[in-house]
Amino acid sequence: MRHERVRIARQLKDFDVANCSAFYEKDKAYVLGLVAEWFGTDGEDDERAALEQFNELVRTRVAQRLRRTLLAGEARMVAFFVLLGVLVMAIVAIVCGVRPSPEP
Amino acid sequence: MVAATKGGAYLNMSAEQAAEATAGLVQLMPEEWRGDPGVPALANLPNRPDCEPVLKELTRGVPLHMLLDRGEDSLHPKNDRKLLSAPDFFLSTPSDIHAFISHRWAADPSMTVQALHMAVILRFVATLFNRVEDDPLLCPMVFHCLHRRPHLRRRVLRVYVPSVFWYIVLTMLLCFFIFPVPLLYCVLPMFTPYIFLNVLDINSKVARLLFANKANPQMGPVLWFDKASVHQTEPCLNQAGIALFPYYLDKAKELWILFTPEYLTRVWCIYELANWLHTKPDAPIFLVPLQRNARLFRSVLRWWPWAVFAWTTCVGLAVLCIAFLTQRKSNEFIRKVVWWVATTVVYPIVSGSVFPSLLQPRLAHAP
Repeated sequence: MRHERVRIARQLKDFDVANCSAFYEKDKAYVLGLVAEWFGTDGEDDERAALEQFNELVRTRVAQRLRRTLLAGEARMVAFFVLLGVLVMAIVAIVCGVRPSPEP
Repeated sequence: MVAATKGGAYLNMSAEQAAEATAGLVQLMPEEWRGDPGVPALANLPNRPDCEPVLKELTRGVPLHMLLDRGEDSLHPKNDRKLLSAPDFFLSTPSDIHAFISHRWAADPSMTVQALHMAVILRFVATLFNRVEDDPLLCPMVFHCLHRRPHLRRRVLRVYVPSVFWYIVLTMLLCFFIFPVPLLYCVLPMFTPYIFLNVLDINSKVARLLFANKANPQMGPVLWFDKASVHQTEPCLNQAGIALFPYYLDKAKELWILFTPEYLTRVWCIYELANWLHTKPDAPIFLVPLQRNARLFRSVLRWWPWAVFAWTTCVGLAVLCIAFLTQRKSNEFIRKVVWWVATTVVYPIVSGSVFPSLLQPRLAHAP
């Protein structure tokens, strides 16, 4: 689990939208153009800067969310089973505590 | 046009019926866009008043159980447009979209199904720690209990109540005569919707029957999944589906990403993610890490029966300790507890070899 988290974190740290691939080259140009348009600063035509801004968003926000998802999933599983165990033990204690003494 | 649903149940249309329904949809398109108009030309489709009927028809999704399907009808092994036909498109029905699924077509189908199962389980577990009213899977039950949404009662009755009842009855039957505190097992029904789901979708037809509802054909969250929500054989409908990506993303409340290491190398996956981050920077993204979830799912299946045995042993030991500490021990009581613990070892031995093979999806891409 930890290895996978580290691997994904490394991949996201090195993310560069320019390295993505497409079946048709024109698709790549079209999508990169759109991404540049969406993430470009007003009045600035520098496509590279806009793409870099998107890269930064993926490296930070998406990476953070993914890391949180991975950790939270594992933590929830553990927490749930611990909670379930405690609950069961509590019920056992309560039920056994109120049971009448067995007949001699 | 042939209806996509009949009495609320999803239909597997024949090729002829699907062709007829496709022709009906093409008729709804403006005349200049029939044929091969090209994706850029169709970008204006959502803004044209005369396109409202076709837009309504093309805004469609599939229910969650269809994505969990690992039967012959599963969409996951079809990793190429050529493998999808018109009837596959009509597995989806026009509906509001809860979530947009962004994924790589080439992802391993078995891994995808296993990971989705685990994601649903983890999400259900998460609702115990988060706000339940935000969760599309648990909120019907909660709202039903609060009497805020009486129309959801039917859903609750059809899914949650039978599953919990089924589990309790089964457990009672197994344990009532062995152990004096069988109600302990009532804690376990918290898992039952998913145990139930796992058992049921061995046969997707049963799942379809159970989840379908006359009033609400889509039981549970409706998801936009490109393999079924975009027509793959009729050019103008296919191009309209692609052109409407931003529209679908705008309509969806969540983005579900079926994440693999290769996800961020595919240009159309990037497009979906970028569009979402651009238009809804703070909207929820539900990440499903396929490899991690699939591995977790397989581990749970493999070790779950042994975990039940270990858990039962712990409970048995606790009962014995309490009985000794409170001086309420009797030979009869101890014998019952020991017998109860001993019998549960049969469960992992038998089911440990049967369940994984039954429940683990064995899907492969079509050659």
